[in-house]
Amino acid sequence: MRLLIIEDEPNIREQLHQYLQQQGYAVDSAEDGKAGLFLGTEHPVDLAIVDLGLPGMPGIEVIQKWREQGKTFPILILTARGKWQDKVEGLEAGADDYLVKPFHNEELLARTRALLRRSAGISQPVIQFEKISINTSQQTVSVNQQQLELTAYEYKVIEYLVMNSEKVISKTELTEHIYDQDFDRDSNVIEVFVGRLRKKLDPDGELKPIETLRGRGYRWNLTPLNEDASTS
Amino acid sequence: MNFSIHNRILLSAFITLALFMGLTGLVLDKAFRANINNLQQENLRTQIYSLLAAAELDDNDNLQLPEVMTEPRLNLLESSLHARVTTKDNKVAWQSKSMLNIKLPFICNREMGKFSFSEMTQDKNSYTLVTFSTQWVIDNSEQTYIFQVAENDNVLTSQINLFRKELWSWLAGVSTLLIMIQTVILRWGLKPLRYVANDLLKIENGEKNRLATNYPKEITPLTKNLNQLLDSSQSQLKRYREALGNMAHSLKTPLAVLQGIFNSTESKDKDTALEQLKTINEIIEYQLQRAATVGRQQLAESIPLRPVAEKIINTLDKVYKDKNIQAKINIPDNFSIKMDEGDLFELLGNLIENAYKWCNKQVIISSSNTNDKLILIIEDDGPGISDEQRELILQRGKRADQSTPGHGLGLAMVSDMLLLYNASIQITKSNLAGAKIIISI
Repeated sequence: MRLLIIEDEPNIREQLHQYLQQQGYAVDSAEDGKAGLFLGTEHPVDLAIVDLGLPGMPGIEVIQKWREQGKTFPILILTARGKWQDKVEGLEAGADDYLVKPFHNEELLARTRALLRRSAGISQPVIQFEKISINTSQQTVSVNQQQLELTAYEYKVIEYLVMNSEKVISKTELTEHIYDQDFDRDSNVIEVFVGRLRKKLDPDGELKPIETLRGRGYRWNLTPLNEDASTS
Repeated sequence: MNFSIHNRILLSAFITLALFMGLTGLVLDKAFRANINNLQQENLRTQIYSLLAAAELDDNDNLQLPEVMTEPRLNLLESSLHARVTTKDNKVAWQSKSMLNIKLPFICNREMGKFSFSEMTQDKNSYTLVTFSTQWVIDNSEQTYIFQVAENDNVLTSQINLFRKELWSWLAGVSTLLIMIQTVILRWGLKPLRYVANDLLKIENGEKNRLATNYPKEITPLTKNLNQLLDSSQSQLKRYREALGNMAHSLKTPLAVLQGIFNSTESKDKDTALEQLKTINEIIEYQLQRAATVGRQQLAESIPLRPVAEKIINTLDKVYKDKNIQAKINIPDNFSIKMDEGDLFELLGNLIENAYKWCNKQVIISSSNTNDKLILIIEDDGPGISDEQRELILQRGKRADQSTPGHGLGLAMVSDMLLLYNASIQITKSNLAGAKIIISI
């Protein structure tokens, strides 16, 4: 999952950037509204964290522009003032949640995960597919109640595929949403990950959770047990 | 007494008019009477002259006047004009036919060759009398004749009465007309002032935020100054709140940085430090909220209640999407509240968010109007608030510096804000089983 942070205060930006990277997200950050707007428009983004008081272009305007462009990724706004009018204005402009500064990093993480989950149409933090269970808040995957040993990148691949289940995800898209920008995109490392994941998730080859569509990419093929199909 | 300008002008116009018309009436009445008296005297003199002209001596040197006089009134029995001629020793030498049935107390003034006028009354009738004494030399002896003509004042009085009636009714008519015109002029003249008053009322009710600018030049200085005052108080308020907001922003960023640092370091004091940071933050939040609360203002605008509640519900529906909350707003469309818009957002935002946080599935926001108070009720189907908690929550605002982490700060802020609006807050149990907050404002 690729996150975008727009925050003008360098200390907070750095902290958030680092913290979210540690939590296994690919993170881009911008220090003003215009740069942030550009990143959100031109780069693949799964969620944006936007400070409302930004130099150059106010956060509200950035959000409005994205929504006008048809961007649907969830947006979490940060506000120092905590005034209700600001919150309402931000959410009316198209944001999905707000956090008043100062906040605990854990709180931010929890909100981020919930928003990502929600935008994928999943309402519970634990998603169950037959014998596979994915806990998005603990970032763990179990098969038959047995927790799998996964690397951070392996989990990211599963998470991204699950969050976009029933959609075809190209290798490029997967790479973009998982790695920071300096990653070498010609690598076949994704294929290796997917191969390993298939073995871990479905050792018997019964479920075939990840389908390969030749020349197009991958698709998560299972439907969650505890989800209402209408929520998306 | 505190008369309105309208009444003052009208009353003074009325008094002036009454005095003027009264004096005019009196002067005209007097002039008319003098004129009519002159005419009468002239007429009586003429009568005397015609008597003198008609009088002659007969062969016995007795005074003789024709049987039928040229003045017809003298020949009629019941007429208003009477005449007689007497001699020096009060012997009647001649009297007109009109004297037959009447006795008049003729008073005599015997100054020779002069007309003298006097008034007399007889049988409730008043008469004007003219007396003219003359001496005739008859056979070398002087004979004095006193010519007297009396006229009943009836005719005169009725003429004067008629005139008076006419005069006063005309004056009254003209006065009424003038008063009416004056009233109309006054209403027209004072119209701009009434508009100012109306405008001010509208501003007070929040239907407007400035006075109109198209007033006559006499009161533009007033309306201009009022508008400037309104503008400056509004902009001052705005500046003040912006300054406070900026202060919040500038304090909170370093706090967020500190919090981030403590979050990422592993120290045994980490939790204490984070706790203290949180407390600092809550104090700032609370005091800023207090300072930024505008409170009841005389010229505050009325804000429609329902749209604000809807906006907050929409916002919270997004934030609490996972809970799938059923929120219901039972607020009539025409309900509005005289409150600063920012304050109203804080009030409803804090209360409704609390309900969203604690509810199970249901939140109901309702409102009613009783005895010019607005009742606002927010209830949920959550666990509710116990009696001890109620006390604590409502008192907490008074001791924000001792606040402990947790919920209820929102409610304390609300209860503090309501103090500024002379409004009351009450926490009870809802029929939905959760908390029921009742605001009466």
